[in-house]
Amino acid sequence: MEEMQDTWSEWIGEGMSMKKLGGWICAAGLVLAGGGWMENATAAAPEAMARLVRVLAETDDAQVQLDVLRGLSAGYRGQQRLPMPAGWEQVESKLGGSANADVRSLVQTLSLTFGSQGALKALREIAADARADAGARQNALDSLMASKDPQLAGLLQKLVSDAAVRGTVIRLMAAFDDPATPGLILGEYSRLPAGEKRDALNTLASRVSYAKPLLTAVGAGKVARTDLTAELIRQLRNLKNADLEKQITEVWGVMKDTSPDMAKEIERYKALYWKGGSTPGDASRGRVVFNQVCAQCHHLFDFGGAVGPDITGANRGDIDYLLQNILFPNAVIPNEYRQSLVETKDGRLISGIVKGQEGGTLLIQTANEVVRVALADISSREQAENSMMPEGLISQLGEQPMRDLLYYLGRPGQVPLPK
Amino acid sequence: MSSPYVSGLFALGIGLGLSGAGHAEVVKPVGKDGHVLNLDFETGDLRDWKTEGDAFEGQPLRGDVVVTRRADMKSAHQGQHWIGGFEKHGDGRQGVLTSETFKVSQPWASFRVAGGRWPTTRVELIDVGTQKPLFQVSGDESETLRPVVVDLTQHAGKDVFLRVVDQQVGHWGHINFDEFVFHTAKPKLEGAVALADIQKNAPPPADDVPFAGLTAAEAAEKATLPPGFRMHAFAAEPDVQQPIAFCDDDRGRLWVAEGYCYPRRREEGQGIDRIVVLEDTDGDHRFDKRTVFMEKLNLVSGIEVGFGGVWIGAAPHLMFVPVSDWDNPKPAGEPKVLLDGWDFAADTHETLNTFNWGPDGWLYGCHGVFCPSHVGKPGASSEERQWVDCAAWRYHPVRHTFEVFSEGGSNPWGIDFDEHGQLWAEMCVIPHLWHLVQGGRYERQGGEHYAVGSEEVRRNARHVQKFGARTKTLFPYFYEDIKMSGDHLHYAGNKGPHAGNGRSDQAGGGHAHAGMMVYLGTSWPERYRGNLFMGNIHGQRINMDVPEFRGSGYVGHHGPDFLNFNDRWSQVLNFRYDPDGSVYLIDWYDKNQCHHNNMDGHDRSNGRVYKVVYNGQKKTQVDLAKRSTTELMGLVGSKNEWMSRHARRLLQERGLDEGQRATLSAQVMNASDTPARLRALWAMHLSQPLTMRDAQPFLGHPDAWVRAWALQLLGELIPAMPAERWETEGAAGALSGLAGIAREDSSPVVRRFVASLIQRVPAKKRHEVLTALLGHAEDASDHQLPLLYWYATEGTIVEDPDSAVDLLKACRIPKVREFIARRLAALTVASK
Repeated sequence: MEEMQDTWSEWIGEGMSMKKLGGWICAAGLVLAGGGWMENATAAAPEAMARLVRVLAETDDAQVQLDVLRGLSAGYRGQQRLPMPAGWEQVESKLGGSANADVRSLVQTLSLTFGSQGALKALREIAADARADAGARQNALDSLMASKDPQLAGLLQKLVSDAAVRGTVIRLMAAFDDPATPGLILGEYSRLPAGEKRDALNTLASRVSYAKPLLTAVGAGKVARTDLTAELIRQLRNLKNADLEKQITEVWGVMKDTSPDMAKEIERYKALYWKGGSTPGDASRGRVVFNQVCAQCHHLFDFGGAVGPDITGANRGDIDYLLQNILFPNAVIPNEYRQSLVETKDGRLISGIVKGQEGGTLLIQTANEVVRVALADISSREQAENSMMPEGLISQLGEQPMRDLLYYLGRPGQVPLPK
Repeated sequence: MSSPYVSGLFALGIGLGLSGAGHAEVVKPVGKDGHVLNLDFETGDLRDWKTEGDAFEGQPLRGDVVVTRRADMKSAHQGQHWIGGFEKHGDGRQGVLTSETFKVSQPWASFRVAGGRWPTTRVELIDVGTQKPLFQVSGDESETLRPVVVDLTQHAGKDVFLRVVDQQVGHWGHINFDEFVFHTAKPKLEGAVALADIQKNAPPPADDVPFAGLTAAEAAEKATLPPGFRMHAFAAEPDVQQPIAFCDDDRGRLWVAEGYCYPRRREEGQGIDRIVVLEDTDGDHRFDKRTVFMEKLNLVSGIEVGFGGVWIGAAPHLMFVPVSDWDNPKPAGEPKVLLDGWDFAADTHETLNTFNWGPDGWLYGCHGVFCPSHVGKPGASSEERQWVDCAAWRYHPVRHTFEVFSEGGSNPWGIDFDEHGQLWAEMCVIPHLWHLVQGGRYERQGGEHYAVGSEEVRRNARHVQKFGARTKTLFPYFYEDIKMSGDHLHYAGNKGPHAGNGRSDQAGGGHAHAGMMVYLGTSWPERYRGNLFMGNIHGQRINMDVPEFRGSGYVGHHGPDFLNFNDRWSQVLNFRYDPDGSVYLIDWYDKNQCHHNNMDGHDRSNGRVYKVVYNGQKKTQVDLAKRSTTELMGLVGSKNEWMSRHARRLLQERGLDEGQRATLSAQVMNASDTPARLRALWAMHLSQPLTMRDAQPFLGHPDAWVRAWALQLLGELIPAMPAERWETEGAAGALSGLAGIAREDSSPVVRRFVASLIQRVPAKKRHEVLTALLGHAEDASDHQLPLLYWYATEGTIVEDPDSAVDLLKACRIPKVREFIARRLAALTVASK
């Protein structure tokens, strides 16, 4: 204790004046601002990892094995084709045969991350096996995607008409720039159920080379013009391509960028709304409109997505409130719902809310899925000044569907769907 | 088997023969004389039913009369006849249909119901034995009857009867009903819902709040308080309006900030906020002297008095205004801006707020999640600033240093300290109750965790997010944040916080809170001492949670609500107890309960200050500033926290000599209870930071809280240490001493303080202390220790990856072991 007393008093200083302490505080700020440390730290990391792998190979404590494997699995999540750490072969052979199923499965996944060829081959076989469980096939496809399997693009093209995995296949196709893709997807389009149509449209809107054939198909009536929702149009416009812009104007019309006077616009819609009479809308029909236009992102009562805020508790009874938020989503918007535009080095554009980072990957909540992109593959990332919620959502609706929607949004509780 | 299901089994046997396994046969209930009861109304009349009231006159109906009236619904009745409460007489009438008694003869039943969602528009099955309902089901605001399937396996053989109840008038004030039958097995009916699902997902009943828009005097009368308490209207409009923040001074006067600018800061120089000082000179619990201290302030949201002036939060500024003439307070000069960079534009109601003097002599405050602030002294560069969104922060009034105390949360708007100097805060949307610990990272309502302190900012310089010109340095490696300290929520239902608005009476009123008071006055009954009081916005009431020690911290239980205004407009924003132990509260009072962007959306004309008094407690006049230092020394250990807190702050202003510090030191050692020891310890530290020599006896004190607090106070100046000092033998010896404490101390509370302290030491120097902390396998299940240990360990892995493996080998806490491996993996990826 005696020794400690001296040392701590040396730090803190007996009877030190406040002024002198203030001086220290400034000095500390300068000293701590030094650089160059990160290079040192990361240079030492591989060797430390080799030591950690040795701990893993040597321990027989199942709890330690699980803790370390779970940590490694989380730390490497989203990474592809990492170099195998020194000594991993011993871990693979010892723990790959562990009696603990979790240990075995974690070792196998990590081995895949480290580019184990045997693991890749097994996954491709599962993905292509029409007799295998659909969930297992989808997981296999996701794993192949995560490990950037060079043979995956070809496999996806073969599976595009396989109903069991088609949705996953179409979503994953967005990651590859291949001229054959738009034709394959558009060829299937008319046969797709609503959810997969949405996947198809999102994939086709992911890059300029896919968007052009999409808009041509809309122009030719092969894809219904009404399938292009406001958020999809905005995604297309985010691609910032002059030819596309022209095509959009042709098939969809002009989208106003300049904000009209907020108060006037709200009054205009209110007048339109009350033109529908004392009960201007039909709640059940409104629920259908909600499901088409809003539910992808917003939860109301008992149904809807979690991209935007749950609006059940919002001030929905107030028509002004409703109109202000629907017509002018950018007027009051917490930063948490601002849209980010993330572009990959191979030309894919992802619009969505950045949910965070995990390992070396960025998680982006788009309108229909959470996309994971390796930071190394990102060429640009900007936060837009606008909300994830597009303007013009109800300007494309007819008058009565607009009334039905607003009427439904104002209901205190859920209503049945129309019979 | 003497089962009442004998006939059911028989029917099941036939069913098996005819239509395969599992098919449920329909069995109609029969009355006492054996005749099939008219529970489907197919007789075309109400035979077998008794009627009360006039709601069911002319029933049953024949055919679908709904679809002809409105296109979006239909009756969906069974057979020809059914009960449709609206169709004959609308929503104006009331009544009850009661069926004849019958026996539960089968394990399953079904019936059809529609109509109002009210508890007063329902169908219920009454158990004759107990006269209590076996179940109750309301409609779902539709005329379309839907089948409900009920599991009656627990009620076999009971005598029961049905009641179809309409005791509601107005909006959906009716009930529809048709065809109650039994089933031999669980039936599959198209569109049916299970009773269990209805009950699970039912929105809680709408709150019935009797009043709105009362005068202050009426409100004081209509509020419900526990016996012995009385609420006085201390001040109200027009003398006080828009009370957004308040504090009290050494005379027990109230300084109230009036927020007229809220929700938006006005143009420079156009501010219209005010600070008024309210005083009760004649002791009748009403103010009788009002002094306008200051006008033309802009977006005030926080206030505290001390050190010769007023500390004002008005984003983007934290300001200090010196006071002249404390009898009739007025500003002695222009406001001095101490800090700027507090955001006021991104959101409207999350600015710096609820200031309070901490036990350690810092000014504490809160800040909300959606205002991206980059805070520093005026003129500070981006590098010299600290990011703040959701946080509890502190500012030292003498050294003028600023720190984030704990990171995370939603929009805390209320903090107070308990007798152990622990910080309690309330929040909205996310769970409400939080014991915030130095260096803790807490669940966020949104957005990403950020780096705290210059070292962590430097380590995470690659992880940034731009907010306009401001750069937030993220802290992605927190891996898991600390969750709520409460074991309950104050909102009802299973549809999230907002869906509980206006429907959470039973649970505590709702998710939105403001204000926090740990009651440490002396005039209220002892059972309230140390309890946590919060204003509940949607519940127009004051919640009371009860803390209990658990592990290294606390768990907060739900106590009975303390006070209910019974007036929808009431919104308590904060509390202060006075020298007599009576409690003041400010009530924003507004028809509008929700924040929004509309400048005209708030009623600017009103606001209240109430005073809650127990057992006729008198108002006494005090002015602690006039007391001698000796007298103030005598008040430090007072159980009356108002006296102790104000005395300590005055001593901090005046400074103490060695003899006075020695007196306090002796009190730390010899006082008979923990709070008295801690009060002496805090007082000793205030005028001059605790030194190692001071602390030596405290670190060996049998009271864990004394040991713990000595550590926190010793750590206060660590961020100011010059880097080269850490390379001395002295520093190494000190860290070894700390490691000894970390290893040997039997108290999880002490280890928690070590974990907070070690975060303040440069990451490269933490190894020995961390090794000691991580060896405590018994901490694995603690609410916060594993995560506090992890937050301290993270930096060390980055600065010295090789040491990570040694820490992992020493670690006996699975979660931290996993996080070490995870961080090392992430580090190898970064070096790829």
